[in-house]
This record gives sequence, structure tokens and C-alpha cells, in this order.
Amino acid sequence: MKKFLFKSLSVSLALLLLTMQSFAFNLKSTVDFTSTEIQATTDFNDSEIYEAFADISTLDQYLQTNEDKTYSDLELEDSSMLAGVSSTTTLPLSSSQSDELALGIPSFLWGCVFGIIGVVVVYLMTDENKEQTKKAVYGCVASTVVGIVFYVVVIAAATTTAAAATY
Amino acid sequence: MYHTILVLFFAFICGFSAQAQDSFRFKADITTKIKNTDGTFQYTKGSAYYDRNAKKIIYNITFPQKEIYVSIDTLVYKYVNNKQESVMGNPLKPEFSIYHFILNNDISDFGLKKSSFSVGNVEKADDLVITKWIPPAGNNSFFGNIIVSTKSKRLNSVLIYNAEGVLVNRQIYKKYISVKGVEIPTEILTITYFGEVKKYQIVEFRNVVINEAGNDSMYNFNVSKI
Repeated sequence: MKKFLFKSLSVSLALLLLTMQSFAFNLKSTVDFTSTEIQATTDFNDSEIYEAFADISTLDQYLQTNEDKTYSDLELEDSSMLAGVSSTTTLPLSSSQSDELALGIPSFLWGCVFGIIGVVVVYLMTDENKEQTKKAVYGCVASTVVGIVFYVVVIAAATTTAAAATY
Repeated sequence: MYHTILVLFFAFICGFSAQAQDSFRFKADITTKIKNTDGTFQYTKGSAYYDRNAKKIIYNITFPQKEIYVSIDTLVYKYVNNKQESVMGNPLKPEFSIYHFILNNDISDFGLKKSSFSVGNVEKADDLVITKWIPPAGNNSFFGNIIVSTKSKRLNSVLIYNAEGVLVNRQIYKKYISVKGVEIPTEILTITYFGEVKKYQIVEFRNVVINEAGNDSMYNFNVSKI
């Protein structure tokens, strides 16, 4: 019995020592809050967010009771509910929408390798995603610039070589 | 006698931990409303499925179109009429999603306890406990400090700052329910700041089911099957 109590006491003291050490470390590494950080947390007014969606409250209520309706159905039945509403899906709590890739290939490469055709492919396959189309355009522009620079360098080199051979 | 008390004590502790670990499946009807910076809206409705062991998030979308999205690792596969239509990149792996945090009961610290962020300070204000999480030294990422507040031990709000100390994202977690001992915020409000303009988002969960039996083909959706 005595042995068991001693063992328990030593384990408790060891735990206490560890706790104190981590507590001391935490105290050392504190970073003060700024007044704006505290204020931004306590004064977070959610009514601004609800009000932002007032224009689509009719659509919201309609879809709660008509669960199988799609965007195309509503376009035929009552398109007024879709005013300002995009037909593209957005995945909740993720950032995948802006990263949609045509056939899993980066849009920049599409534009770089296939030029204007690549841009059109990206535009159509990513459901008219502007961000990805822009990347494809950048790819197209980059490959064109590289092509022009390469052409100029080759022509200049060829001219220089030809001139040198003439003399 | 002491041994019996010790055994009962450990059984009690293990019981708590087992209850948390036992939650492995999440299913809910989900609605996402977004107001973009240009004033246009996006409205998406459907069901979300997540199995902690399969590490896949499956969205069975009904509006605007009937589509299925399967998030695995850093990719999202899109299916329309049972045909794979595209593959998207997604930096947020399923095991770092809110569904994983909910099932692990890690949501109160926004999953930051298991990240490379460390606690910079803790303060009480009104009925909130506010924690400042600071990024690791030599952090070269876009993100700076993250301020997390809890109310009655439930995640209440998250403020995300960029490396320059500018507030870029605010989130409020509301309308908590408890299903099989798992705390779930059924409404998440977000404002993302892009300089002077803002993007708003509301995510709502309804009909939450924890540990649904069956329906394995949905929870462990085989992307190569179709």
C-alpha cells in the first residue's frame, strides 16, 4: 500500500514538473493582442452577411420546398428568381472552383502548347471559368512572345552568319 | 480497492476518447450561397458525405445542375450523368476539411492545435475566450496570425490575417446541434476581403446524420468505376 502511494506521488510530481515547464514556455512566447484584433472579434456583426443575400431570398425559399428543381427548370418556369444568379456550381468550404482544370492539365499549358485553340478548349471545358481562361491566355501570350524572340534571334544569327560569310 | 478505482477511472477516460473516435461518418444536406465581389450570386444545393477512413468528400449536387463531385487528396472529380467530366485541383485535402474536424471533435480550435501554428496569447472578452495563433517562425506563406474565439467551448469565430497583418477572412460558426455526441455548427458565415470589396458566403447544414450505416458506395465513391 505504502509502495503504491509513493509511486503515485512520484508520477504526480513528474506530471506537475512537465506541466510547469510547458506553462513557463507558453508564458515566455506570448504575443499581445492588438485592440483592433479584440474589437474585430467581439464586434463581428453577422447582419451584414444576411442582408447581402436579401435579393435571392425568394429563390432560397422556393428551393427549400422544390428540392429537385435545377437551374434549367427555373429558367423555363420563372427566370426572374435567377436574376444575377450564376449557373455554375460552387463547392462549399473549398477553393476548387477557381482551380478547375480541363482534363486535369494546367490551363497555362493548354494556352502555351495549343495557342488560341487551347484557350477555347479551357473556356469550354471549365464551364466558362474566367480565371482559368485568363491563365490559358497568358500561356498563349507567353508562347507567342517566346516564339517571336526565338524567331528574331534565329533571323539575326542567320543574317550575321550570312554577312560574315560574304566578307 | 485502489486498483478498482484506477481501472474505473481509466475506463471512464477511454470511454470518452472512444466516443470521439467512434464518429467516422458525416452526412448532411448542404446549401452554399455566395455573393461575389461583382455582385453576382452563386447558389449550390445538395448533400455532403464524408467518411473519415475513406478520406473522401462526396457532394451530390442537385442545384444548379445534377452533378457529383468527389474530393480525394488534392483533386476533385466532377461527374455528370455518371460520366467523369473534369478533374480540378483543390489545395484543401479532405482530412483538413471541416467534416474531419467535426468528426474528430477538433473544431473548437479550428484544427490549429494539430497544425504548425502555436498559441501566441489567450484572453477573455465578454463571454468569449479569444486565442491568437501565430504562424511558425520563417513562415513564407500568405497567412499571418489567426484569431479564434470560442463561446461555451464551441468555436464561435475565426479571423484570418495575411502575412502583412491585413484581415482577409472572417468566419462565424452558428446554430450548433449535437448529434450522437458530436457538436456541429449548422451555419457558417464568411466574409472574404479583397481590398475594398467583399465576398460573402453562407453555408448551411440540414438533416445531419452521424455514422450512417450502409450507403458505402457513396461514402467510398470509386472514381475509377464510372
